[in-house]
Amino acid sequence: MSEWNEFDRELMETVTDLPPTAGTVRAVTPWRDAMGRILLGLCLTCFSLNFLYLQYLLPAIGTVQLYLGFRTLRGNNRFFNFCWFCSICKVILLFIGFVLEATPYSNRLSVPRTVLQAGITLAMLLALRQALRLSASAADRAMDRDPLLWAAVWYAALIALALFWPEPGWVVFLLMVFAFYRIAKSLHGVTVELEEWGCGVRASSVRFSGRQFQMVYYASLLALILLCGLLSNHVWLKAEPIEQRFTDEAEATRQHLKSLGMPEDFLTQLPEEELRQLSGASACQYLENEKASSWADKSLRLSGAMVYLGGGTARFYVLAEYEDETSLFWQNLAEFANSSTVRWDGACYLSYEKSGTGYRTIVPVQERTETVDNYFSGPSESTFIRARYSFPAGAKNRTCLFVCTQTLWESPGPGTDYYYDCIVNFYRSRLSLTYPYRPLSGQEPSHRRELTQFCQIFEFSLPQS
Amino acid sequence: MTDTELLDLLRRDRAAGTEALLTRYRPLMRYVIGGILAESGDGEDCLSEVCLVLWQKLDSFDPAKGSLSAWLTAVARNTALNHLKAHRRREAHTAEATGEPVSPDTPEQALLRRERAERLKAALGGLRDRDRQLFYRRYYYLQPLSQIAAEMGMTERAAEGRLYRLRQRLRQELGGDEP
Repeated sequence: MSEWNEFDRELMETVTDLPPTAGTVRAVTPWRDAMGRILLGLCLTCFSLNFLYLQYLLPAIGTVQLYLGFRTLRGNNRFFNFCWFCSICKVILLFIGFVLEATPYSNRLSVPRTVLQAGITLAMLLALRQALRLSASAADRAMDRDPLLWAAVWYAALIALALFWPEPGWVVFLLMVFAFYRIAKSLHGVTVELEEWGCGVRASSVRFSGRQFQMVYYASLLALILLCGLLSNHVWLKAEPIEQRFTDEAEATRQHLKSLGMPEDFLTQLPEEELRQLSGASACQYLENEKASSWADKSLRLSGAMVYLGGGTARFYVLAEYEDETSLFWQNLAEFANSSTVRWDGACYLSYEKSGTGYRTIVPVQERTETVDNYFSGPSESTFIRARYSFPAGAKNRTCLFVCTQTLWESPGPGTDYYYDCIVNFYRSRLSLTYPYRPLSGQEPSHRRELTQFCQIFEFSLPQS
Repeated sequence: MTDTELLDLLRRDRAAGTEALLTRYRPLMRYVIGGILAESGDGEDCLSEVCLVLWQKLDSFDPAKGSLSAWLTAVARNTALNHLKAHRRREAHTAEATGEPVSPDTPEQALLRRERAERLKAALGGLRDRDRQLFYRRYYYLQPLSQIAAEMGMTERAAEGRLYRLRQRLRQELGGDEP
């Protein structure tokens, strides 16, 4: 007290007349706060409520509370120290597990993680039981009740149920909840009893405060989950530099298509593998989209071509040229819908320029059949081909070439006229951060907004052979 | 055994009641004394003295004025403080006799003290639980900073900072010398 100044002495003397309340007396003892945290931690981590993300929030809070509680009591006996070690393992496991949940690897390690978590919790409950008994005997007391043994039995039963009887029904569920309530109540009773002699426990010093730890832990966990979610849900495409030279055969096809009416600008977007398929083209029709703008002013320019390949089949091309800025948080979606009775195959090519080099890549295309309720014709089955893609930040001259082959008619006759309507919708969707991770193919694009639509009727006359 | 049962026992059988009371509250009293006499190391002597004081003063306990634990805490704290003052006086006397003269409060001083207590009570009422706990640990239980930090789950530096801010706040509300 020698370093105290006059004000401190005055406070000390004045407070003599203001003795603390019973609540403050209890709160001041080291036992109460630590055991309160441990009890809360056990309640939050032993149960799993699978809604409103509570299966993540409650264990995250509970595990940290367990750690902080055991950290205070760790110096009292070796069992408390062991419990503290268990709580550290739980904190680390939870951190790794929750971050993994945001990645495609979530399912791979779920079983070992669950087994490890269950083993640690069980060991911790038994060690805590021993720790309390040792603390009681150190104060010449004996514990009349043994709630932690029952808690261990309860937890083992819970694991057995999860393994062998995953859906036991409401009766068993309510019984388990009731049993847990009784155990928690009994444990709380023991904790209150121990409070009286719990003043004898020694609190261990800490290197960082509980609040600091919680802030750093939760903030880093959230940041890593968001980062992993962002990276996992972003469509990563491995693009190759565009080969400027064509083989002689491809060059010949290019010249042939040009003579059939395909513009040079459109031709440059066709990769060599496409040109190979078009070598036998007998006719070509090129159409520019009549509405070149979208909700975002002139962000997308569309054009299309239909190349007749002979034998009643034609290959359709729809080219989207993006003119707006790109963002890591946006994904693009091209969707082509048609009657499922028509045979088709789909492909999607992306090209862009970055640092002066042109890149091209093939986007995986997903196929989906849905029943669509049409206002005029009623419900019918439609097949959608969908390509989801995103461009790297800073990319220029971004284009998406959506392609499919269709059988126009089975027995074509020379000079037959054919009308074909082609509808391709272009959307922009916000990068969806699904937690836990779900593969993109299983996700509906979130908050999608239609950019524009390529809707054109190709009027086609079969050449006279 | 609840406090009421304990008090009943004390009324019926003082010896058995005191024994039960000490069994139950000895750790609490030892805890209170330990914080104040952490440096001097004569906590066990002080605890014996507290037991003696309790034996003498038990009749003065009024449950209407506060809980038994709070009263025991006050008795243990005041006895330990006297113990500490005596210890310091002894130390000072052996080094050089410069001990502070102990004189009872004059009526004016007593009035001022009551006023200060009222103002402090109001100021403490406006504190958050954790700050109030910190205050009582420091100024009532006179615990060392290391003990406060460990028991409140903070680093010593953080506890010191929090205590500093608390003092500044109280200084503003109560008035006091500048740091």
